[in-house]
Amino acid sequence: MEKITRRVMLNLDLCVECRSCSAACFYGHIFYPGVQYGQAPAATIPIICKQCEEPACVDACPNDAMHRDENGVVWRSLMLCTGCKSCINACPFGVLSSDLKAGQVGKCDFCKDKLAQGLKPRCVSTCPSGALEFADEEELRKEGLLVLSSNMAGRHPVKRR
Amino acid sequence: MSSDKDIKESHCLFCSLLCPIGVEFHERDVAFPFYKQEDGRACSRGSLSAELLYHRDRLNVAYIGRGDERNPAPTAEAISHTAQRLKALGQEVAVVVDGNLPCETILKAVHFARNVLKTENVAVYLPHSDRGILEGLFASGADLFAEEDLLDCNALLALGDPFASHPPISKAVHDFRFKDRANRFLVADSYRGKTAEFTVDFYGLPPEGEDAFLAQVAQGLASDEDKALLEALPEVGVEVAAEAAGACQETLTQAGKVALLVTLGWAKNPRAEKIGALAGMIARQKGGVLPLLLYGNAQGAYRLAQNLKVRSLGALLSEIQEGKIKGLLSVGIDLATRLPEHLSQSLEGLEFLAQTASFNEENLPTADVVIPMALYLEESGTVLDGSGRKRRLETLLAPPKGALASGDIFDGLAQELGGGSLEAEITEELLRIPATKPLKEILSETYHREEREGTHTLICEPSGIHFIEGSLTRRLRWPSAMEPRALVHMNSQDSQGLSLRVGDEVMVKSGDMEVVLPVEPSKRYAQGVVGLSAPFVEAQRLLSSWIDEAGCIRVAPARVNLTKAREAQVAGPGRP
Repeated sequence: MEKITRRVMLNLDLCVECRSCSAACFYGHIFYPGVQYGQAPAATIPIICKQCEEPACVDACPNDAMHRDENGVVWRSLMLCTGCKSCINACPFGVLSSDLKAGQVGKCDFCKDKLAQGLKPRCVSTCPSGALEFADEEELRKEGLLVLSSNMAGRHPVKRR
Repeated sequence: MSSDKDIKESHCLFCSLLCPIGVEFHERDVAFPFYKQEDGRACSRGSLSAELLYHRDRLNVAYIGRGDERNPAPTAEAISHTAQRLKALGQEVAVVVDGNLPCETILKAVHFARNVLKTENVAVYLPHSDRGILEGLFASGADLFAEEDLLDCNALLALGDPFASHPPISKAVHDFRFKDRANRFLVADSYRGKTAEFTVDFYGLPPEGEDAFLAQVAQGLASDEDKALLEALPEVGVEVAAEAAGACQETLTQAGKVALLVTLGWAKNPRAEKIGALAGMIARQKGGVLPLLLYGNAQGAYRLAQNLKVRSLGALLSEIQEGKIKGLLSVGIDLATRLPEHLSQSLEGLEFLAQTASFNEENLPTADVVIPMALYLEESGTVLDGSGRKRRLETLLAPPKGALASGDIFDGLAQELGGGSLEAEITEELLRIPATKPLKEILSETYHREEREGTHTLICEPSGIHFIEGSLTRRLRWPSAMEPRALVHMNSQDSQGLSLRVGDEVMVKSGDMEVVLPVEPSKRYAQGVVGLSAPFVEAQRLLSSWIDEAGCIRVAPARVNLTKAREAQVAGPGRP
């Protein structure tokens, strides 16, 4: 699998808060929800792992359960995770679930199985309003969008009219 | 992954958009169902179908006997027992079939009642909003639009909150909005829902104000003939901001082609046929209507029921109460749970009740026979979407051993009674647009319901997840993970007046019923209006419900009194 340069992008102009992304993620990851929600005053915004270039969750994990692979995807090993919540506390975006199932933490992996088939992550492909896109920097520049944030913060452009 | 990957497709029956839905197979085993609309899109409600298919409580065994005498039995034995009991009761029996089953099943139900049981006592159940909207629209003669027709319009008027009740419509609406900056998207609703966030043209209506609002808009657009009809309209007394109706009317007048999205939230307005008729009258002048219905096959069921001239569920229930009907077969609908309490009690007087069920729920029907039935992904047949287009349901998976497809239940019963196989050919004649009441009659209809005193009006926010029936939906894993809670949403100023803050518990009282729920102040609601976050069972107890002549259960907003019950015990958002 080639290095993943694309990220999940949220278009706030289109999101209707239907939570389809969360449902698709839940069923696609054996009932570990990987999509969290932020409650803004007027909207509920889906928050999806930004696959940081310098991920704080990896540094925080005492059991080496979290690691960033050569493709740029941050992983959590089910075998090693003890559910200590260190990664949850370390994540600056709150994308890791605090609702522990079987003592383990749910983690977005960009739907590795779907990417291997040349498809998009489940949250993107299931979005009924087209608010979630799976795009890389080059594609974003063509749309006149800037990629914001530092390396640690990852690349998660949010566009708004 | 194997190269033997195979994808089978059908349609989601959870609403009238009938989104394509698929299941992926690997080497003849189901890998896991996925949901497909265009690039795999489907709403969270459609996604639940996966869990429903593999739910641990799927029913694969029949039950014979009531209460303590209930015993599991093979399905064939239950079918045979049902056939013999129905035969023994002669013509004092009735058949009720749910409208969200394929057209072939509905046709088989009618043929089974008429040709095998030799009775005219057969009814097709439809939610009042679906039945009413279709009746009004067909009476008006308006064009019915499909999703792709929205792109040809210059203005779109959405009634209700379609992004919450029918999320997949959002893609077509967004495409319409961004196609041309001059395109206008108007939303009218009794609270500022999700759809309203996407427009600056939001018209806040009082609860049950939709028909009055549409009547005022139609006044300015209608022909002289229609204006005379509108003058005879009663119940326009509901106060509606004339300014909003005027502004809406002006925008629609200037627009070249207009589409109306008509959806009724749960417990927001029981006068669905008037809303359908008025929306149709506006559309007749300016464009068309895309009805967003609750049942996937609402239109197919409505057309068949009208063309086959079946009886109404209301009439059958009256005869059950009078003791004229002693045996009932109900397929696809659990009447005991769905009917208002005073009507469901009348079922106890039946000598024999047979029902179908797909899940071994806590509230498994109290019937003499329970027959396990397939889910819609395990059925095949013909269905009609909101715009009237034919769609084909395909059997994606075989039902669990012991469960039967709905049509097979009627075939099995007919064979037991020597009726042979039942006819199931759906012809154009059966699906033609039926004749309805004249517009004048629909517009002049009046409604009687129990009026209660109260300081606030309770409405219910539509939700993609149905918690009405309780035990099953509350045990589904994804909704459980989302932890939906019954909350009372109310206007911030109203909550201040009652000294209520986030998390405080409030007692909501309507008539003899009362519930205590946490409160959440919200700017979405107008003063004097409170809302429940989803159709939880708590809401069902408080709202007004009754059954009309057509056999539809009507649910309406109720007047309620609020009193502070308890302060929140823990600090939460918005609390120090």
